[in-house]
Amino acid sequence: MKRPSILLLITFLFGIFIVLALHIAAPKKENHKHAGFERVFAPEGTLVPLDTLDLGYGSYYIAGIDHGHLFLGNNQVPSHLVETNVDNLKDTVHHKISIPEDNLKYRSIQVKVSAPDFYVVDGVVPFIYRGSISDWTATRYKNSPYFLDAVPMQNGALALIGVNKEMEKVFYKVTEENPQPEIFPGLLKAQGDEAILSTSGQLHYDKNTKILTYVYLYRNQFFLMDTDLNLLRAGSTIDTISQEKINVGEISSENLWKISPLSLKVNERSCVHENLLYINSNILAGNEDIDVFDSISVIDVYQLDNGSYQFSFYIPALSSKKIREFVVVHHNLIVAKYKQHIITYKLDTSHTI
Amino acid sequence: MRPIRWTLPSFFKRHKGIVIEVICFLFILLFVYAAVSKLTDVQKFTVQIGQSPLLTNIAGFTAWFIPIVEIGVSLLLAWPRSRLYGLYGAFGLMVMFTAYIIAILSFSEHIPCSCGGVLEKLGWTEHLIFNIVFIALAAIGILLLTPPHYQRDDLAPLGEQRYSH
Repeated sequence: MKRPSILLLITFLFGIFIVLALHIAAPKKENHKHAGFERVFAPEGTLVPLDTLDLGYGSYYIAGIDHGHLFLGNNQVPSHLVETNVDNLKDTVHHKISIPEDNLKYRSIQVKVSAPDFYVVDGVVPFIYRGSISDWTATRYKNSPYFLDAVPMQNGALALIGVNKEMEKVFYKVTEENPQPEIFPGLLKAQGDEAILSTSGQLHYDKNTKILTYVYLYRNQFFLMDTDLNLLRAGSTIDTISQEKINVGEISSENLWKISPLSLKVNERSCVHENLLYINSNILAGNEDIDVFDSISVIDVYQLDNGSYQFSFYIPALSSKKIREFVVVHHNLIVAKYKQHIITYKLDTSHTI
Repeated sequence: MRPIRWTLPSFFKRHKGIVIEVICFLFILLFVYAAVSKLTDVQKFTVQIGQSPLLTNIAGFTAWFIPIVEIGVSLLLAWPRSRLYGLYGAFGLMVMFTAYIIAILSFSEHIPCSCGGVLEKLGWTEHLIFNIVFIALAAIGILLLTPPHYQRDDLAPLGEQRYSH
């Protein structure tokens, strides 16, 4: 038997070696594996940072943008709202939303601003409150089914991504006139043997074109609808993921499903402005550097009327943290929300479109 | 009072027997607890391991292998004759877990630890400190338990040197 110090060293190195081997043998990241397509990048200098606003907390989210005003809701203090000017991120105003009812129970509360109205919605309880941004007082608006997201349209209309009694994902439309929301089934197409996760995505409404756009999270597809939720046309994004690759593990003792990191998100986040669709894709392209790709947020731009891909650009990270939300406003102004900062960028499209 | 760096080793040496007992007991407690809480819900443990970028491909195997090794090391520690091997095993396991924590943090801070039971409630920093303390305990145990003539042949007492040849 050797000296204990040498044996300890050997054991120590052995432990390190096993983890190192695991590290080396670790599979390639799922979003790097499907690089069978290429992006067309806008020339450098296309994206110019303008202003920065430090919110101080990470709990803010973009509640809406209207007429040059950016509204930020707060997850921790649902009645608190910050308003700022998108053109300079100055003139910050704080608002307090009041709801006459006492003890409103909420579980997944969100504020949506769509001037001159604002909505306080919760798809889990569920409820929809509405008020005017002149006095920030909301009253109960409509009964609603359970929903995942509510998108304000115009004149008191809202599109809801909801779940019906058969546990299928459907759209609902809430209108001023109808006491009950109208249901629109069959638009969201399930893939695989499961209808909730595979149809995940983001719904956008553009006031100028009056068009709703739904972008799937787990596949390379999006589709357009009019305000009565009639399907107008469908399109695909440039990557090759037409079939969802969702991987879930079941923990029956806790009645819980966990989404594995092997599940491949395609269109992580997106937004629409007039005729353009901006998608922050999660899929690495063949002509991109892996390290660069992992440190920025790539945005692919599509034209909505014909679904054609235009170009791509990068939104840089802020102290190595990527964007959490982004919205494109007037005159190619991009509002990017990082953990606790807002940065506005000017997108110079003169030489690309 | 003498400085602590002198008093601590001599304290360990003077109470060698009890110190070794305590160290072994702590490790048995830790490993049996961790192993049992993993084995009582193997399905959950497999899913948790599957979330880890390092282990996704071998989650099914690891979910059984780790608790079995933990119980094996506990058995070695419980039996006085195999105690030294048990301590080496415990030392190796703790080094491995610690290296794993550091490796996983380089990927993401949001991956849950799947150590089982209340240990999952520890934050990453607490977890690192916890592990380093246990690594140190294992090393102390090994040094105390190794017969003196294996440590330094030249200083071994005369009576024992006879047996070493």
